[in-house]
Amino acid sequence: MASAIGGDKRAYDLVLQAISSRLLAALSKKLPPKDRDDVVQEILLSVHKARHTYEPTRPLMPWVMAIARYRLSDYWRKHYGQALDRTVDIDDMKDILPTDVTKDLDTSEDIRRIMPTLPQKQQEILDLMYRQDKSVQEVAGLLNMTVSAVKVAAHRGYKAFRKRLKE
Amino acid sequence: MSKIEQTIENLVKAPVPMQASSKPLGLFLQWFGVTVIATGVMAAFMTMRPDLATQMTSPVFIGEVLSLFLLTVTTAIVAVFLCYPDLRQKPNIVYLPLVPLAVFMAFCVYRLLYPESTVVPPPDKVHGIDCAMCISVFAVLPGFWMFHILRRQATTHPKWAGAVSLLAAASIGMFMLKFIEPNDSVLHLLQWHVMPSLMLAGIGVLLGKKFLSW
Repeated sequence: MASAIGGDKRAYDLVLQAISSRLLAALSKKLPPKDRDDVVQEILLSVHKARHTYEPTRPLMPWVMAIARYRLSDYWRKHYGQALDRTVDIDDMKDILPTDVTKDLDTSEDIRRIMPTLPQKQQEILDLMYRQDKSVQEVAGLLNMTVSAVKVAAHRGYKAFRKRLKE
Repeated sequence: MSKIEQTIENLVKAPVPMQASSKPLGLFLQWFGVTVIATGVMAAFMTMRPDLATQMTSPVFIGEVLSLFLLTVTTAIVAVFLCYPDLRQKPNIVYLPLVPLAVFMAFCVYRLLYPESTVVPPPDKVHGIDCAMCISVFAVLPGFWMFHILRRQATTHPKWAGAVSLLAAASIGMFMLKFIEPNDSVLHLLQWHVMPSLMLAGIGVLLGKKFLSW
């Protein structure tokens, strides 16, 4: 590096080649492959820019790695900064979204509209279970039915309700 | 040819011979020279404390002045080492200012324990914001010059370098105020000398991020 700073272009070429291969090896597990070359380029440019601060009597790699850490922290700051700023347009997502969440909401108007169309027994059971929050056992006691009969009637009522909601 | 090879080829073509930067001692002496001249000129327009001759015989006063002088020197040395990307491979040097700082704080504790050693002027002559302003005035040129030195090098710790530069410059102000300000009260020192210096260091963090990043 000392002769490279002194103007020996061949030595400078060798030094930069050696630095780049060391950096590629060091950064291979730290960076995504698509960004690795760009970061190494940035570090080489910084080494070139700061070469006047190198003291030839001292080891080279700690000096290079200090610059590499600085550039790497710049890279991560930019990387996470971009990740935070990234936005997704809802129109780009409409093909993969399962339903249009703004259209298919079950409203209380729908419930009031569909409930009278169900058989009387199912209306009573759904009303007790889902509006008055009674347990299956309580509903069975109130309507003088068995627990399994309440469960079957509630299931059928629920199924019929869903079918009419989709119509 | 890969992007990296292309970059290396371009860099090698660029004019390589260049002058290596000065050694830390050279940079420090350059800053110290400018600081001594600037401080000397400013001190010529200030009035020294009336009891200076008496205070110069007090070991506590001499100890405080020496610790503040050493704080200035050590923070400036740290700032100079922060000029280099790898701190000249002496990372522990950043802790150097803690020694004079601890000595200065020890003298503050001594003054609290033995209040008879402390000169407190009558309430109508107690300064406040004037001291903070005075520290800032003394800090302007040394702080600017240290930033100028740092910008010519390649610090990899721009925020720290900014903070330490302005702390070194503010320490000059604290040092000079010992000769100007006749109030040695510890609370006054902490409120109007130490706190403004720390605030200047905080400003240094912001200025360092803006002007020393490369």
